[in-house]
Amino acid sequence: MSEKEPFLVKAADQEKLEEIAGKTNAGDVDYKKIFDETDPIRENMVSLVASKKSEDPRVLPSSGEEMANITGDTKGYIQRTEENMNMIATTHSGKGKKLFLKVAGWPARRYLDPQIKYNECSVRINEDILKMVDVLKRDSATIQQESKDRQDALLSVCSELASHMELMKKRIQELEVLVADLERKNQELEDRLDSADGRN
Amino acid sequence: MRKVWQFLPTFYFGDAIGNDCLAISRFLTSKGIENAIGAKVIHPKMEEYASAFEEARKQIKDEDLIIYHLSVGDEMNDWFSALPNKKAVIYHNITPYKFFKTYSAVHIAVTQQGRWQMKKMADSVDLAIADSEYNAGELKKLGFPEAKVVPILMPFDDYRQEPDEETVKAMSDGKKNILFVGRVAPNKCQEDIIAVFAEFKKKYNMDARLVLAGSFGGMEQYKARLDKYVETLGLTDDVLFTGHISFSQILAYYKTADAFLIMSEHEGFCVPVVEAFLFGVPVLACDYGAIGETMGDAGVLLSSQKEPAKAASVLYEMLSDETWRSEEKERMKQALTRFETKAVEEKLWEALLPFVQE
Repeated sequence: MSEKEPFLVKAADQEKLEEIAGKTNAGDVDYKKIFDETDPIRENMVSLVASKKSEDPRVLPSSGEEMANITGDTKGYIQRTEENMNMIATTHSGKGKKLFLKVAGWPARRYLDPQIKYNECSVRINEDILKMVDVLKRDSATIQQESKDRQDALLSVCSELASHMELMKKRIQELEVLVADLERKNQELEDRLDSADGRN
Repeated sequence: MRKVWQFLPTFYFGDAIGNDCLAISRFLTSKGIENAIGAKVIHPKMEEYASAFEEARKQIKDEDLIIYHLSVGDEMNDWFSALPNKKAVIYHNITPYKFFKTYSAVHIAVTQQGRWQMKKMADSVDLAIADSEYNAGELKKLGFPEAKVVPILMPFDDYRQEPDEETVKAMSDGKKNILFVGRVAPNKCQEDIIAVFAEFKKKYNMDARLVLAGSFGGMEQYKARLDKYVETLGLTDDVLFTGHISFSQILAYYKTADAFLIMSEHEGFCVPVVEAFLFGVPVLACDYGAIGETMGDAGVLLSSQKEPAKAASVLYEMLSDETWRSEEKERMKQALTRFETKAVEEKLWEALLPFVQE
């Protein structure tokens, strides 16, 4: 918002309130930053990972893959996971690579049950969405094929037309040669007749 | 005789959409129109008013009219789109999925699904009704028939019930009560309400508490974050999350509120604004969605750029200036006339009459 843009959109005594707001300093607290950095569940998971890491350092490259294993549904799920799934926990190794918490089979799972239940539910919903996507893809493919078929048929007709036109051009050229020949012969005849008339 | 059916995925008690559906049913009955409600999930307190969806759908005749309340993604949306009957949709808005990122995959999935299903629905309805011009605009973009704008039918008489005595007593301790009523959800932006309150507490020597009245079921991650945020800002003793409460308790919080603060970034109508007006509680809000439209000429509407310190200064004025507060009470009464039952019923009948006529 530029400085000139009013803070108030509408109110009774708007001018007065605008003036009061205008005189107010923004303050030095960045509330958005504080909130963005507030994530107690992630903090808990990070410390959980740190405490469990020594017991079981196994990690997976993708939380989506892991959640797919938990719910028993892998088809199409991994693709959608990165977009829709909540991160269970992330932490960074010393090399800066992201590691993900492996949940299946760990005691940690019971702490995450509510999240897992939500995620299982979202898998079921995502299945419906993926089915819809399949239908649309099929429909889209059918339309594309029909369009292609029509295009092919059109091209075939155009090609036939083009070959007819080529043939016509040839015939016209042949006719032109024929006409030229006839005209020449006609002229020769006329010349002979004129010559015959002259001797008579 | 043909019947008018209202269908919705969930028929809750005390829910704006549930109340709207019930009020429409009563209105149709008053007009001598046979009607019924069908829903997949029915709150026990609403069982006498509705039938289970699977049973209700079997009873639909070809000549029956169908009214559908659209507010979320659900398989019922597709079922409705495919019905051959004469159909009307009442659009309450579907929260954009972006708000639920990192909080709830379920909410992302259902809201995305809903928006997708809306596109398929557009060509199949004969009548579109929207709670607000804002909602009507969304329908227009998707190719629905031009929507008639009919505000939510709110049972004003229900708000005249006795408020919870214990809650009234607890809130009448001399502190200023700043209230927000609504689900704890990322689109309601409770963190921004807390930020304004934090500035208010810091700057003004006024004994005050912030009451955030609303359930947080399904939003536990977001709620946990808000709890930690309140703790970080040192406001644990001053911010009250009520969780799910009874209607009489909600009435008590409205009755004892000195200001209503809303920083929501998405509202298709915003029933709590009307509720606040009913109780004469001045409203401070940000210009998002249909909030400004619902407020009309009452309340204080801030631009969409959120600045907690400035908002806090305006809030202070709203709490301190008795002349302004007295005049604002009159403005709120005027603003309410648009939402009175008779006025809304007239609009509803104007919208429905061509639809229900042969």
